[in-house]
Amino acid sequence: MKTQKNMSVEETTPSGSAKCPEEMISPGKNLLGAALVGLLAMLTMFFSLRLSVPGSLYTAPGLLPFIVGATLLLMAFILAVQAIQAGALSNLGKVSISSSILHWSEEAQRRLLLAVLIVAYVLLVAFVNIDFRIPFIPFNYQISSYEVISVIMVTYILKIFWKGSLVQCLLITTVLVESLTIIFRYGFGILMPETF
Amino acid sequence: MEALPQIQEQFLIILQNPWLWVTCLSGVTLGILWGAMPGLSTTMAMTLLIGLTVGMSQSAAIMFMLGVYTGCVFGGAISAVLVNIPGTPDAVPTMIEGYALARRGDGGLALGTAISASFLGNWVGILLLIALIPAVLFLALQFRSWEMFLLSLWGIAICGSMSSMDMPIKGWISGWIGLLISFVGLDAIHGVSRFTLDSFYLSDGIGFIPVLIGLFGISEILRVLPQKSPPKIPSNVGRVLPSLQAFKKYMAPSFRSGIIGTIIGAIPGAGANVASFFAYDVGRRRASKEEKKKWGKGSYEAIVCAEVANNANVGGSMLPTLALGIPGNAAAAAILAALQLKNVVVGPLIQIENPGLIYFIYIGLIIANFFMYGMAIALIKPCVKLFSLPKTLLMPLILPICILGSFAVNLSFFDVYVMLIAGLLGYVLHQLGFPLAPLVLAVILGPLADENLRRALLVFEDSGFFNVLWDRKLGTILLLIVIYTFYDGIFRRGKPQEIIND
Repeated sequence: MKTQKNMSVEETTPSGSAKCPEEMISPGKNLLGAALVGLLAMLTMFFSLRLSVPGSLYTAPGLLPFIVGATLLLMAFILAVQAIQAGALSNLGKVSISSSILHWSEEAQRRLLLAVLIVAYVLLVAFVNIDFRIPFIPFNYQISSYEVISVIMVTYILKIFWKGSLVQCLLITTVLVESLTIIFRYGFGILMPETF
Repeated sequence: MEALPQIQEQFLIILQNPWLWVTCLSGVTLGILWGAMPGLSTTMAMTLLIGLTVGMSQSAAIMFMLGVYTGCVFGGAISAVLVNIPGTPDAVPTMIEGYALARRGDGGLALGTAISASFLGNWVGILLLIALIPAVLFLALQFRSWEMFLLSLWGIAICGSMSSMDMPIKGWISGWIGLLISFVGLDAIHGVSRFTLDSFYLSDGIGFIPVLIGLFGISEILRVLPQKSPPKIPSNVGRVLPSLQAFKKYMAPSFRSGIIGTIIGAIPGAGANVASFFAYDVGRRRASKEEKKKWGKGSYEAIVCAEVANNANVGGSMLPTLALGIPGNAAAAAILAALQLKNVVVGPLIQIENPGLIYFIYIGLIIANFFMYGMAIALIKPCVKLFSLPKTLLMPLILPICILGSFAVNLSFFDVYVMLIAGLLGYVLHQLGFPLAPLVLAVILGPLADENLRRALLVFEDSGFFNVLWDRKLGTILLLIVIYTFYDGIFRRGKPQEIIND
C-alpha cells in the first residue's frame, strides 16, 4: 500500500523538483545512464583540450570545462560500479525485453506519437507563415501562423489524448490560444513566435 | 531600525500605485490556480509566466512575480487535499494528511488549515528575511571571486544532494550536466568560443529560461499525457476556515516550522519540498503522544507544520537571492531571471546599485501574502470545478504557453528549439532517475562559477594556487563546507529512506 502511494506521488509530481524513487529506477537504467554520462564527460574533456589558451593555464577557457568533464567521468564510473553491484548486468536483458517491449508498449507508442506531434508543432510554427488582418476599430486584429497552427495541432493532440468531440477540442483550443494571443500581443505588447 | 523609514517609503510608493496592486493580485491568482493544478510546479509557473512581465515596468514585474511565487507555493495544497495529488512537490506531506481528512469529510477544514498555515508561514519568512538580511548583506560583502566560485559550487552540490536523497551522485551528475550546458558560448574573459559548433546562435550561450521551460514543461507533458490514470475529484468540500481557538494550539509548531522553512530556504538549492518534509518530520518527533497517533492518518498539526515551512521558505529563499545573487531554489532563480530582465543586478551591491529595492520586495511579499489569503479562500470552489477537468485535457493546453514563454524573452525562435531539446533531455534524464532541479541551478550558476574561478586564479597567479587556500580564510571555510557536502552525500546514502519508513 505504501509503495503504491509513493508511486502515485512520483507519477504526478513535477519531475524537476521531486526525486525519482529509486525503486522505480532499475540498476540497468543506472548503468545505461552512467555509460551515457561517461561518454559525455569524455567528449567534454576532449573538446576542452582543443580550446585555445590565450593567456596562462589559470585563465584557460577550457579549464573548468575540463575539470567538470573529469569529475563527471569519475561520477559516471562510481554510478556504474554501484549499478553493477546492484545487479545491473544480470538484469539488463530482462529489463530491456520484458519491461520495454511488452509492458510499456502502448504507453511508449503514445509517448512517441506525442513527441513527434510536439516537434512537428514547433517546426510548423517556425516555418509556416500566415498573416491575416481583420480590421477592427481602432486596430487591426491579427491572426498569425502561431494561432492557426496552435489551434490545429493542439486540437489534434486533444482529440487523440483527451478523446473529446472534435468540436469540443476545437472550441477549447481556440478560446485558449486566442486568449493567450490577446493577452500577450495586445495586453503586454509582445510579438508572437511567427513574427520573425 | 534604520530600515524602517525606507520600508515606509517603499510602502507609500506601492500604496499610491494601484497598478502594482492589480499585478500582484493577478500574480497571486494565477499562482494559486497554477500551483493547484496537479503536476504543475511553482518553478514551471514562474518560468512560464516570466514572459508576461516583459512588457511591464520593473516594479510591476517584481510585484507580479512575488504574487505568482506566493500563490503557487500555497496552491499546491489544494489538489493535494482534494485530489490526493500534490500540485507541487512540497505539498506531499499536506497530501498525506489532508486527503485522509478529506476522506472523512473534513476536506474543507483541512484546506482552510493549510491556507491559514500558509499565511502564517509567509509572515514568519518575511519577518526573518527583514531581520536577517542586513547580517547576510554584511557577510556578502566579504565575498570575492574565490568565495563566489565556491558558493556557486556549493549551491549546485547541495541541491544535488537534497534532490536525490538516496543517490546524491545522480543529483551531482545532473548539476554537472547543467554546468556543461552553461559553458556553451563565448567565454567571459578571453572571448573564446566554447562548444558552439560554429553556430552563430550558440555564440550567445544557451539561455536558461528556455531550458527551464523545456525541463519542467515539455518533459512533464511527455511524461504525464500518455498515461492512463486521470485523477478523480471529490465534489463536497465542507467547512473551510478553522476557528482561532483551534489554531492557537498550533502556534509553537508553527513558529518552529517557520524557522526551519526560512533557514532551509536560505540554503542555495534546498527548496520548499525539503523544508516541508523536514518540518513534517521534526513536527512528528516533537508532537504529543496523542497527536503522534494521528500523524499520517489525518493530523491538522502535521498540515500546519508542512504548510508553514514551505511558505516560510519563500522569504528564506529570497535571502541568498537578494544578498548574494545565488538563488535559494529554482523558483527563486525565476525571480532572479525576472529581475535580470529588468536590468536589476542582485547580489552584495544591491543596496548600492538599487537602493530601496530590497524594502520594495519586503512590502511586495507582505501584500502578496494578504492577497494570497483572500484569494485562496475565494478560489477554493472554482478550483474544485477546475479539477474536474482531466489531465489529458489540461496538459495539451500548456503547449502553446511553453512556446510563447520561451520565445517571448529574447523574441528568438532559437530559444523555442532550445526549449524543445531541453524537454526531450529532461524526459530522458527523468526516466534514468536523474533529478532536474540541480541541472537548472547549474545552468544559472555555471557562468558565475566559471568566471569567478578563473578571475580568482588570475589574481593569485603569482602567488600560486595553494596560496589561494591560505590567503582567503572565508574561502577556505567554504571549501571545507563544499568538501563536507560531498562527503556527507556519499556517506549518508540510504538514510533518508530509513527515516521515512520509520
